[in-house]
Amino acid sequence: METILFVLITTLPSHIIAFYQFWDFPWRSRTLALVLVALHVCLKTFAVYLALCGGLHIRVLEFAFSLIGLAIYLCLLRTDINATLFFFVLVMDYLIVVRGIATFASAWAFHSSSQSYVSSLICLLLYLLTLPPVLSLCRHRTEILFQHRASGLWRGFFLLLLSMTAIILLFTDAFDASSVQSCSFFFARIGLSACILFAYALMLKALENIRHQAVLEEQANQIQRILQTQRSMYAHQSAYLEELRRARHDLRQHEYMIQSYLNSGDPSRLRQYLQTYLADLPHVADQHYCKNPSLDALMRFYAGRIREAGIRLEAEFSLPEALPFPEPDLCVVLGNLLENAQEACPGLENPYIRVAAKLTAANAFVLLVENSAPTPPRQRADGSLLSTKREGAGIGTGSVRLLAQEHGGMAEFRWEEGVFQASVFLPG
Amino acid sequence: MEGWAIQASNRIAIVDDCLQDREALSVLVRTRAQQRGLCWELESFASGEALLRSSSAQTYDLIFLDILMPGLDGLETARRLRASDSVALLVFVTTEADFALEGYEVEAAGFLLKAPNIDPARFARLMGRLERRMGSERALDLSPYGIPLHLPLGNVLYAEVLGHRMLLHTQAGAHSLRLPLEELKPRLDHRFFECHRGILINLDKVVKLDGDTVTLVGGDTLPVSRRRRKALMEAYAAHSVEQLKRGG
Repeated sequence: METILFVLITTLPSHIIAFYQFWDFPWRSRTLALVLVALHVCLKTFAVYLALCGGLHIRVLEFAFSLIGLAIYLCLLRTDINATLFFFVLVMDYLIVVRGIATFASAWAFHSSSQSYVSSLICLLLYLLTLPPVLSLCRHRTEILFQHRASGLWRGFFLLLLSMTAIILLFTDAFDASSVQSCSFFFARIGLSACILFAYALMLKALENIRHQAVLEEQANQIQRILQTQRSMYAHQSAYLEELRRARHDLRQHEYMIQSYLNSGDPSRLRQYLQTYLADLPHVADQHYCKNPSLDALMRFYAGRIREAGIRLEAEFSLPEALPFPEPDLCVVLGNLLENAQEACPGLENPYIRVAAKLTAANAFVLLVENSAPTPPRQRADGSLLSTKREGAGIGTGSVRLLAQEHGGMAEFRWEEGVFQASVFLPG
Repeated sequence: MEGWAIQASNRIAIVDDCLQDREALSVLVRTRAQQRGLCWELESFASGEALLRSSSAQTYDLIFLDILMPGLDGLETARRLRASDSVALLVFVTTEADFALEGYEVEAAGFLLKAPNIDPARFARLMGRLERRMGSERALDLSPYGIPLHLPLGNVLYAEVLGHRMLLHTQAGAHSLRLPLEELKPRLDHRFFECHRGILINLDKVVKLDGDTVTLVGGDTLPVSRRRRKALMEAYAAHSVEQLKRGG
């Protein structure tokens, strides 16, 4: 009975963490996963009972069952396999460390066996103490962790943690009373937890770097777009100048014609002539959106695409020529939001996009992008948006948030009465 | 007790040198007023000079200004309106696809493209936003407290408590009132924020946010208490975004 309780107490937290971490993630079937996991825990308890009666080695049984558990998550979760494996080892290590400390403490302080009620109790206490921070860490870091596809990195860290864990498990055994009491057992477990923390911190650092790189790439893309637009703008203006030159050249000719029609005293022919003349006059077709050349060029680029897609566009910019923020950052923010707005529109009836930006009197930059959206977007509990194109959070909205944070500002995404609103505020 | 003086009707002006365009826009505005059951006083002017000459130039809540006009163009008219302290919502009407890029100088509330025709859906959305803003320009009326003071909330810069009195600062000067700040608070709206104990500022009038101080139009610099710094920044952000949503 003692062993069964011990096994149960050391098993349940792994599933609690797993479900807490992955609850909002795309599942093949979350209900099925819940049922299977419950079944798995029951079966495991029963198997442990049988093993105790038959004298089988519980360690082998535990190992087999944890593999089955892993298989359930791998089959039913729609995340990167390597990421799931990494989390599996991470959670397993956490359990091993807690179990190790509990058995060591109970053996050392109470001289009780490794799977006694005392060690179960210590285990429970340790979980109660450590689970809240672990869970909050999981929740807060998910956005960074799953935002980018970094399969190779996940695999590398998974193998690293796995080999460390294997070594620890090979040389220490929580079910063996003689090994549990030794100091080397305790230090091995403490060492393992230090390694996990270190590996996890490294992983976060690496992902942060990847994220920054993605933002930089995004900036490069937007700047490429600006360049492209400016090139076509230049071609446009050259053609317009050419047309103007021709019109000026023709002006004397027209003056002569008008004079002769006037002299002939036939106003209807003069009117007709004037009509054709006015129709031929070159007119400025270029539309400008704002005085800042970079944002203007970017806006023209997207305006062309948005109009081509049959979406109505309203743009209201109140911005001076020079802005007190790095232009590449502003371009990434505007480009990303327009991109998202445009992608949300196809298939909608009479879609529209409204862009408004201004610099407030206190020199803060405020941007609002609205688009028609009959249904609310998928959102996580923490408010981050889930991508419509892939699993996990949206990259565009993620980098907009990141940039806003870097400038000490904020980005907000909201859905209200059929309109999706993205707003960004950067303090001056 | 009626603290708000809600204006019975809004005054709207259309300034355009082209008679047909003036008429077209008038029809749209009148139809809108009828549909929404709103009481609007509408007047048309053929030039910016005519508007500025009229004795009622400062009383309009909303002015549609054609940009390209002989004599004073729309922008110059707007600048002069602003110089004469008009707080009207300004909408620029233009034939060219080229928007009035200088609009930010005079705090334009929107743009309308009149060529080839004004898009009714766009007009409806613009008006929807402007109506909310016109309706929301409230007045502060302290006559229930026996204080003969009645002024638009937009004119208030900030209020501060000094001893047993409250100083209500406006662009035109300060009023010293015998009124607790707590009584004033419910008569103000979302644009006011208490950045320090006993100091209520109008977020519209902020020209500088500097961590532990905030500077308002007119140059007065006020302290921001340490624990309200973050909240002030958030309130300012939310207020700025809200203004954009309403088209300002």
